[in-house]
Amino acid sequence: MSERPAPEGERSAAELREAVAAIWRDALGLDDIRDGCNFFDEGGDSVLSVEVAISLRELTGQDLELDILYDYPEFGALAAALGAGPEEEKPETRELTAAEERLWTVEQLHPGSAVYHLAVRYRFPGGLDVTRLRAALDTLAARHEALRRGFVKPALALTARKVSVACRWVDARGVSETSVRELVDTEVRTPFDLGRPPLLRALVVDRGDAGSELVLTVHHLVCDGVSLDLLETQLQELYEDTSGSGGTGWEREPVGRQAVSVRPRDAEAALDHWRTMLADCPGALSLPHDLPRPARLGVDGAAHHVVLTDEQVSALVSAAEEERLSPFMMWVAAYVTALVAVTGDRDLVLAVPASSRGPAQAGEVGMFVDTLPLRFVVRPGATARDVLRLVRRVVTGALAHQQVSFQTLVEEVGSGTDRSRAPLAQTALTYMDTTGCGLRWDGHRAEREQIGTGTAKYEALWLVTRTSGGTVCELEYSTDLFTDEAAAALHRRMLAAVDAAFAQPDAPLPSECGTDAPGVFVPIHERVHRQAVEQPGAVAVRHGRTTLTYGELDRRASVLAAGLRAAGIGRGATVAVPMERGIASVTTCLGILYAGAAYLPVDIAQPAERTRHIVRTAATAAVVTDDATADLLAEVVPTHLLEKLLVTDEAPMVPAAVTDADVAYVICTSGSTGRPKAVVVPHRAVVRLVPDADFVTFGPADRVAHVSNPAFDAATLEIWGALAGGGTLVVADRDVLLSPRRMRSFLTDEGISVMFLTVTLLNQMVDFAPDAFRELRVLLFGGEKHDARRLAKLFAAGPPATVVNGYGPTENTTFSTTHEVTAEDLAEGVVPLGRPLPRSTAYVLDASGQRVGTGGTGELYVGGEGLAHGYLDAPAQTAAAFVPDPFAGRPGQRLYRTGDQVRVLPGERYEYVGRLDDQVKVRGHRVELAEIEAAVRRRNGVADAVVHARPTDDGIEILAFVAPETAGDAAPRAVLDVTVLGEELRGELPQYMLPTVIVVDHIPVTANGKADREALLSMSPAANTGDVDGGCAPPQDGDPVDATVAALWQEVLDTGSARPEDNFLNVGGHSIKAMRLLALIGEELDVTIDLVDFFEDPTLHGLTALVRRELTGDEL
Amino acid sequence: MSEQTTETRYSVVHNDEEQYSLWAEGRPLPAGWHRTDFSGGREECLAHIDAVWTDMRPKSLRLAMGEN
Repeated sequence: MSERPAPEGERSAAELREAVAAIWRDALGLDDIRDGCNFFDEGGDSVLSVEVAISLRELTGQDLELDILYDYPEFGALAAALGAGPEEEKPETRELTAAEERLWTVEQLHPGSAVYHLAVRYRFPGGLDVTRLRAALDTLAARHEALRRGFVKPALALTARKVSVACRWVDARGVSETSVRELVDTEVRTPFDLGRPPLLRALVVDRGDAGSELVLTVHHLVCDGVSLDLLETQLQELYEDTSGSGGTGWEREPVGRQAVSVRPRDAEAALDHWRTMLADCPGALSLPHDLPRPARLGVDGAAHHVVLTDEQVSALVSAAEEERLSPFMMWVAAYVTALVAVTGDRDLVLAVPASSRGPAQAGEVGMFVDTLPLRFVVRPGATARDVLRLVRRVVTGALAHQQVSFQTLVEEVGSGTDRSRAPLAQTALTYMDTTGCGLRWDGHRAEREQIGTGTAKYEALWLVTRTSGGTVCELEYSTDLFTDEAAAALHRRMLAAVDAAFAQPDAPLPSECGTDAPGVFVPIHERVHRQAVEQPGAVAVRHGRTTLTYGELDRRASVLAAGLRAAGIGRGATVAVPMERGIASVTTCLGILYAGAAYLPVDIAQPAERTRHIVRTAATAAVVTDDATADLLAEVVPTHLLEKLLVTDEAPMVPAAVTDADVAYVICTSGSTGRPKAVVVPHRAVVRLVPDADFVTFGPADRVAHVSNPAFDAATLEIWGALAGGGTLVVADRDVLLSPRRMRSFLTDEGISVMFLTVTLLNQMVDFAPDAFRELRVLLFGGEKHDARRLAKLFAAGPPATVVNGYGPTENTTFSTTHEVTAEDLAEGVVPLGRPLPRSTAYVLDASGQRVGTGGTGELYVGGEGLAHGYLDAPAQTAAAFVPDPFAGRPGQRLYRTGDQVRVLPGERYEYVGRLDDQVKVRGHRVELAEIEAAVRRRNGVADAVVHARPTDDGIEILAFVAPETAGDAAPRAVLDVTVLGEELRGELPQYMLPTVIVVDHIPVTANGKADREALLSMSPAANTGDVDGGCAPPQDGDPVDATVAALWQEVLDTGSARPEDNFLNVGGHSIKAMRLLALIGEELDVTIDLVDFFEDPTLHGLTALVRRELTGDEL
Repeated sequence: MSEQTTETRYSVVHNDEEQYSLWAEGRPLPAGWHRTDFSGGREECLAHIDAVWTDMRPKSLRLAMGEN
């Protein structure tokens, strides 16, 4: 132990303290120096600070730093640092109560924030006596232990014997309103040092003739709503009492009394109540926020205020009185109806404060409030009155079991591991009646006003305060999630929804489909246009080294639209876009929307006849990029060359105004009648998907991969999600999709943050590059049923921040339900389809149209704003698939029958079981086997055909069993040439629909006359594939490269045959299998073969030659 | 129950947007839907809908476009 140099002479701590205070008094010209005095606030500047430091050096004899006052600007801290701290007695410490612990935890997560400051203001017409105020505040602190309480790590409360309350007086005469506001904001937002009580401070703003303001800031750790009332009452008495006796009739409370919560004996029963109430409660609330959700929410916030007159709330009040609800319960009910309307959620949890103040604490200042989660399941068709009754039941149940702390509930029933969301409840409501509150001083009564601290405790918190001037509704929102405009719009929608619901308390709640929300519909192209206005220089689309800014995209689309208009194409028209994905196709689609028309994306890789058929039936014109495509469609519709449209003389046009029911696009899917059917999708369905839904939000920082075929409706999500959110759409070339290695580089090089993959592609990626998605913010997958094994591998290798399972048919716009996949799902072995998107519904119904209960299985019906109008020019098909919705809150709604069989899981989630018909998903594409069967049967030489789909490791494999026509007694095989048949089918069907042809003598039938699929499958395996002569063993001897390539070829094709001249595409191979084969060859032989090269000569012989060339490095 | 067929009978229905569909006879019709006077077997009803539903745009869209 080294001896500290003793200061000259022996001086007690108190003497030293007084000496330091004397130096401050001289320097600052003050009479009174207190612990809370801040050197710089009291007029100290840099010169003075050095002078004082020098004086302190002389006083202490220590070599103090000259900037010591910058380290210790407060007197108390400085005195303590010099060894003259406040009374050295050791403060009493105790453990935290559960309620304190909750706030303390938040403080540890967000240190130095004002999130739990309570700040109030009182305005007086005249000046205030600051000396009297200081004395009154100090007396208060002496009376109430909580006002002398501080908090230190790890988690202890300490109580000082004596404290003095900092009370600043600021001369703000003639100072602008803005400066005063800034001053007050700083006062209420400056964090307390929690270890240094009191956690209360005061500010008096003297505005001369304009009166004065008193601002009190206190930390919620030591104060609650009731305490604030107590403080007000006592402060009023003490300030008015000039006798100096410190108030009248006040008994000093016994020292050391502590607010420790007691766990009653029936705590276990209470916990059971909560376990039941909160079982499988949703972990998220679908608030329509407009900013991308960060990985972790901060506490920055703001608030939007609306004052309601008594008349405006009269309908609500009378309905609540009829049901005998307290005002608090009434506002809970109002909030529930508002949330149902704006989120579409019907199962929601909201937090409310609940007083834990017992009779013994009636007169005590302190924190006697805990949080209760209230869960409401609002059934379809419920009325506002039903909600009132539900609230009464839930709230009384909760209050009867409130002895369990919120913290315990989080631990016991905590929901998931989603770090971007608060556990249990993401929103809350508080209600206060301050009509009798305020300070009456010097004959003037000053109302209490709450001051915002620029923070948010929840994603959204509704603070309702009844004041003498009406009901003040404040929506405090997280500025991480909402812009001010979005929050204001949300708050107005909430209030309008409450209004509508209680105007007719016995009518079903206005539907969760928010079309009755006020506000003008903003179509998707207008949202892109606004991005172009706001950030014209930002990159909208990127393809390789080519980029297109928002400004240029907007300009081109406007010019294109003008050109289309000049050609007579506008609202009501449908324009085909037969283009590969890329800058041209995106620009064209946007231009078509700008013109007010709808676009029809057409897959150019499909056979010409199919393209012509689709364009003929669904489009009135086409925009093409080359003469070949123009020739292809020459006889079908008028075609416009993109480059000519872009140099039109027409003046660019502003984006057309359309209604939410105007058609945005038409997409063709496989049809069971043997022809594709065209799904007509309105604008409202697009914005319901992006940007309004919250399963993924897109922001300017996002780089969204464009990997989907434009003719597949996942492209809707990619293109419009990226562009409406102001992000960059990054186009991936076809070869990127065909090689996991290239995909990995693409993701890394382009800095992709959001992407969608079909399950097939995801599986391929996971097989060969499971860690490729690490840097992604959101990975969405869908289109087919997931593969649990691949997902587990993905999670093990380091998944992106968020993995979302998206489910839904094209008829309900890309996604109907979404689910964020968690490690728990994989552990439990169930990855559910999830819950409906906002403004959407999903029901599982049995054959008689009744809802199926939890655990049951039925057909999934989906509805809401994502619904298509129907199938183009197919009234009967539309009427059969889109049926009346008996559950909707709004009349006249429809539901789409998905044909998907699902199981109902707890919490309104669903698990995919299978199809009710012959539809299958092949690499994300929806395929009706009947369409393929019809195509095969149309071929010459085919007597009969049965098409069957069977699952394999690489997805679905389609088999076509073909019985050839027999020419008399001749051998049937002479008539049917499999190679020719394959070529013909390739000319008619898109690649993903091509079957592996298996020739059989005849189609066997079962006893009841149907095709005997089991018998057919037993004839199948690959030995018969495409080759009537049967298999032929590959050369096992000889060259090891030949043997390896052949073995892998057989493995991938699951065949026993491998002849050098076999064409991969004719023997059951397709691009996904090819990727797999090339990846295996890469692993086995350490060579990289490009798919493009392989497809130039997709025979075993050609492949072996390629491999050999790579191995020998021979470029020729 | 001497009838050979027990096929469910349907009504042809439409909503205020004049979108057509089917609804089993005997089940209460959801609010906002109206029965036409056509009923019959499923295929008959669909054939009828094919004949009468000639403009498949929702009524609100037809009206909005008519205003232009």
